Amino acid sequence: MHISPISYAIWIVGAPLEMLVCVLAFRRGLHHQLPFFTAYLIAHMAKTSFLWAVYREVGFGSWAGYECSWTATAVALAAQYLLIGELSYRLLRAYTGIWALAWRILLVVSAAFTLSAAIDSATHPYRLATFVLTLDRDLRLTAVGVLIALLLIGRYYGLELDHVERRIAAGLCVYAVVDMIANATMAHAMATHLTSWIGYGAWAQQTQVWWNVARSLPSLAVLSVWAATLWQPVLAARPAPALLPAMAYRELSPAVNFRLKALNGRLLELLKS
Amino acid sequence: MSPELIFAALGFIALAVVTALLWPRHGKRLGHAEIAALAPEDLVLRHVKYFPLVRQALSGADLAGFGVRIPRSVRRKVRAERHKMARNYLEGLREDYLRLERFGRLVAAHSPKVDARLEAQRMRIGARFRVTYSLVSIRLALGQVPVPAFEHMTQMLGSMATRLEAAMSSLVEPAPPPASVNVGA
Repeated sequence: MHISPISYAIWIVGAPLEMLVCVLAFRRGLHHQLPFFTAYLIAHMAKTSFLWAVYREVGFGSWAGYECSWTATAVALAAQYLLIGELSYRLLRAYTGIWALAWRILLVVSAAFTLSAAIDSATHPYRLATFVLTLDRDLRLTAVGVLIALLLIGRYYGLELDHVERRIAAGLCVYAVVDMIANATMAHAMATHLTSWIGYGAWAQQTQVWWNVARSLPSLAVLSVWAATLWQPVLAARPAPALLPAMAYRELSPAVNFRLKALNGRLLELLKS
Repeated sequence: MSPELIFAALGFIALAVVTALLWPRHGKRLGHAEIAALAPEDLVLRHVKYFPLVRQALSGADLAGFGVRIPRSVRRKVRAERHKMARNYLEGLREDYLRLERFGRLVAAHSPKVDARLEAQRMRIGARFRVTYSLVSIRLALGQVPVPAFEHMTQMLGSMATRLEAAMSSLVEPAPPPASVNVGA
């Protein structure tokens, strides 16, 4: 199977864009502030170059190409998880009390999603791509779930990411959602078509091209947004917050909760009266 | 529904949620100066003090006293005003609640250690309060004004305010200077 012209076109635009974002990240010193973001960009760039070389050598539809592609995807996925971890740490690290609580919540959320991913993918037949596609789909869902949990915790306590981190988080979410939908569609279509081998090869070739296009176009959009963001100077680091003495929380928090609870109780009485 | 449609729906919902959560909220962000500016006044329940006026306005005695002499249109108008006042008062109580809740979050966010149990409890109370508030609002919209319940709620808020303000004062009061330091000329 050969690489289609549209895939060539996407790679010709995408590879320099990835390189540009990477260069801008280093130029803005993000390898010091956001090392895992820089690692994520490098992993993506390396994945693109590596797969380009592999597909040219062994062909697009070969087993070697398939294995290399999914191995590179696994590395990129791991980099994505590390980046989400980095965003969590940056948002909450200064607030030690909240951070101690939040990392446990995020761990539980990711464990629950990962367990669900393992169970879901295990129920799919281990043939061709359906198992891998299902696993990848569910792991993308895990990434989105953890990201939403992080943002909810931040919103609840009135903490916000800065403008660069916000765009990074939005980009990660778009990546994950697009891959999730593309994988879900492909896994279902493959499972349907696998029942009949007649014309499967031609169908798979055609579908593979559109599957790649569907995943690549949003990636180009995300890379463009990241490039535009990093083109401007990055804001200075946030000042560390002044923490209250530990006694303040012990004294005030139960009192506040008691008061809120009583107020809620009265409102309930109001409702019943 | 096929799995790809389910995942597509999930994906679009996730994108909408993330967009909403990432949208900057300049007014609501915790400022670093905010914690330094914490004061007992933050805990004052501003709307409770208006209750005597609200009670007077909501009381049905004034209308009953006038009996049949009041035309129906005026009676209806007075009733509508009473409901409006009750709604405004309920809104004020909600403001008090939200300010207090925000205060609790602020203290938690700026504490070196938080108790998961207390945080979970506050979240649960917040969820319950929002549901109850909606139901009371619906009840008011349907034309019911439970005056005794309003009074009871107001008394409770007032007594709790005093207790919490005392706790807050002990925390934010500056420590007295050491006796040995002479700041005079």
